[in-house]
Amino acid sequence: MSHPAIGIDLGTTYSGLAAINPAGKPEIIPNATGERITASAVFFEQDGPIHIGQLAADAAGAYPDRVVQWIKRQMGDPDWRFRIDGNCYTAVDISALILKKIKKDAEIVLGPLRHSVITVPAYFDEVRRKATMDAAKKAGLEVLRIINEPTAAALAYAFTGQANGTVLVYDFGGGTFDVSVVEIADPKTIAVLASEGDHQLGGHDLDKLLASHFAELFNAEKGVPLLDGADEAIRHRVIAEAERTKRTLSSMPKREGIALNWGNHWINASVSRDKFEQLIADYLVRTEMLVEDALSQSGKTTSDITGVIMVGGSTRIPSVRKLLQEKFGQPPLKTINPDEAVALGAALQAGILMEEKGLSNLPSKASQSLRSLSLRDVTNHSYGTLAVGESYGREALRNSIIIPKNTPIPCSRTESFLTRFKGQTEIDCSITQGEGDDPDFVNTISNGSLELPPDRPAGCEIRVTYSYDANQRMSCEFLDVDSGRRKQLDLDVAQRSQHSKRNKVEIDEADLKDLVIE
Amino acid sequence: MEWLFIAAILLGPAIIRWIINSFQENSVEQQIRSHVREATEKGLTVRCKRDTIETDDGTSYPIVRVHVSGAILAPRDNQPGAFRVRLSDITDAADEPSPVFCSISDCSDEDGIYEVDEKLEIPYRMSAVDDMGLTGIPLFALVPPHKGRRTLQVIVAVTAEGDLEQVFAFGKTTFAHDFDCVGYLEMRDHTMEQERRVAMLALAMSAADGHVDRRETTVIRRFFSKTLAGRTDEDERKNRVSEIMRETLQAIKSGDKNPDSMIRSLCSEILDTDDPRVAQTAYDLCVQVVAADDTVEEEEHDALRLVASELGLPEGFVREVHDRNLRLAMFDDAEEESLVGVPAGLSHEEKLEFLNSEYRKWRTRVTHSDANVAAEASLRLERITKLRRELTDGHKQV
Repeated sequence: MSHPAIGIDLGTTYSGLAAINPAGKPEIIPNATGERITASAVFFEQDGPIHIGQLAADAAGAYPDRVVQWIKRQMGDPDWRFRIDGNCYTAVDISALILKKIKKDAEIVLGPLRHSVITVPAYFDEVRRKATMDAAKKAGLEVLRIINEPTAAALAYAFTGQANGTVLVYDFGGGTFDVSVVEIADPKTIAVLASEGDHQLGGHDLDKLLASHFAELFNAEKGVPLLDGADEAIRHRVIAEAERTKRTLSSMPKREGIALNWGNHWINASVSRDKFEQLIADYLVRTEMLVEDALSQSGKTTSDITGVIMVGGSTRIPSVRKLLQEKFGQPPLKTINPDEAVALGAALQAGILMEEKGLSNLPSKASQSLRSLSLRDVTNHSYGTLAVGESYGREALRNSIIIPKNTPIPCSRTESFLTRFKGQTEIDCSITQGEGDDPDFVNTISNGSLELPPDRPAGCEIRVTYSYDANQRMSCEFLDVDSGRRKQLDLDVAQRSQHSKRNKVEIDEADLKDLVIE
Repeated sequence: MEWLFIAAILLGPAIIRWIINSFQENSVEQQIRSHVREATEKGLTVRCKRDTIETDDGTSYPIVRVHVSGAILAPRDNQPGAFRVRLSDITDAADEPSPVFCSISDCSDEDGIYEVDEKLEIPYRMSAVDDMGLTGIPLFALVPPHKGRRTLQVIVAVTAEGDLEQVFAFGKTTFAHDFDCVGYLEMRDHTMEQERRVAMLALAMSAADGHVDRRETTVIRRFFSKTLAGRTDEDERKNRVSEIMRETLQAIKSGDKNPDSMIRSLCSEILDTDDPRVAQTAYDLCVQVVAADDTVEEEEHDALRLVASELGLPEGFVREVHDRNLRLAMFDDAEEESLVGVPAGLSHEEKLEFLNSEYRKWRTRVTHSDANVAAEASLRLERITKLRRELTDGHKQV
């Protein structure tokens, strides 16, 4: 029995699931409470079950110590733990709980689900991508592919014929910002030219900024610092109030009657849209700089862009729209709900892959429309190795990039290096991720060593080949040309080489099953 | 008797011819023998010719090409052999040659002494070479006993392949060359002088803000402890550096030495050695000293600029060292542009371009596995975008 193809947008603040319907079109599947997106929040009720969704997000004000939110920002951090009621959860465990809930809700409508495509921010590194895959597996999902969020959104727009030519995808979500320049030759042929992003920049940061402004207003009026030393409950309430204000200001020029209190002190604050835009101006400049970067790397200018696609809830902020309109001289597209475009595109990608693998059960016409889709993405980071080279007139260890960022995938690159010393019997095989040649500022994501035969002169060739496949898996080979000895490193097992101090048992899927609320 | 006479008349010319031929052949053989004796006694003629080699980037390097001419006497035809080229320094005493080291491992033995062997098969028992090019001696990679004008002896021998004792031919010559590099007999003293300069410069830097912090001197001590570890004379050199530091601190305290003028004169000395490694190491240490107390005073910032300028350090290198060691939180009341490292004198467009490139650089670091680096990167991005916005808004208003 084959299962429907699904795509999941695992967001920082909200997540969504879409599936391919019998007509071969993607559609959002609401959760069990009828919401089209599910809050990415987990509430561990005392002596009760675990709740996921809006209920959990709402409980954060009252039970801040028992709610986990914005877990996407912790993905890939091997040291992050949430300890509650004698249990210990990693970021992967929490994400798995969210995915499991979304999957379970969708199964009410679709029946058993198995194959999925999960999206991640374009700027997620290998460790974070692997963590996302691990979370999906823990939730009982077989991941067909991890794709970038802006790419998924571009796919959704292209498939529905709402965008073509060279488009810019501006994805400003709750926790991350990504921008991609995408060439849509026709509704079936999509190629990403360049991607940039900042996974520490999102709507949540704007909420915190507004919350700080509330604290200033409170202090000015009451002489009491609202947030300094405040307990978590107060902090959550203020941030929640800031988020409500942010949403209100998207449609109204001012919000008044914002109730803020600390102990016996109360104020009713108000904030205008102008003030809010002033507060967030620096963040918007950051997004603008990333847009310029992506354009530069794709070899395009603002006048080459035929359409600007807005994705993510934060694009509802009027000043974002205004920035893009001024920059590109055209109103941005948001014909697809910005909260849903990514999940819809992910479902399309899942449909394509299931067709390729012969797992689909769609009628032939629907199947045909998916089979002809072609999607090409790019590497999101540069990958290299550490080698001694000349640096400002002296020999020093440098990062040598082998696959530059924004290289179309699949790809394979080879670079040659030479042994340094006569009689050298070993070389370090390090795989780095990052830009620039200063080794202090790149991440070593995998390493090993290759033994060499003894008694050889210096200058023996070592050929290093990095191959990056369409599933965004990388394999690296270090070959000693003369002897034929080689070292193979595959990034399926990528992990941070430092900080691997896991000293607590992870929660198994079986345990997860018992805890999730029905 | 008649038949004898007739025989003599008939055979005489033939006999005479035989006698003459025999004489001539013996003469030729004698000549050959004579030539061989002469050739082997003469040995190989070794000739050195100055030349340069150019790398792909157009840099020229001086070499000396070695050519040989002469006879080689081998025990048999097709004898496996090798040309062996050796160098020695005979400047001080021709009968007491000193080794010459070479930094290119393919041109040196296990101890680093210059040595080049070229295998060959000697085709005949007696073979001759005529101005055959053997090898190029890399003058730029040689280290003689002393700096300055040196006379080097080039020895070329043809021996059996596996046996250096079986010498089939031998020759030598000399050439002179002016060496800029420090000789190996001077290296120790030279390195100790460098240590003195670096230690004093770092101390001058620590005094730049008018106060020498213990954390700053600890950084200097740790640096030398690490650098000198494992040397045979480790203790002696550590003691020497400690003594220099004590004396310098005393002199600064008493006012005998002024940090600013110390910085200038020491930078000048370091620059004279023409060794970028020393200049860069010295600057790196100075930055670490300044960062030691988690505060970068304006005087310290000015002193760093002075050192970078005096040492002629590349801007990219300076920025790298700053990125590694200095955090924004260390700077108090610095102007935003200076804080972010915007070079002085840039046009508006150049400033924006600089900020964009700094933004690109720091943005990649927010995902660094070291939380401190990631945090610093986030802070930098905030400042950069703030400054960019100010520049853009200010420009619009104008």
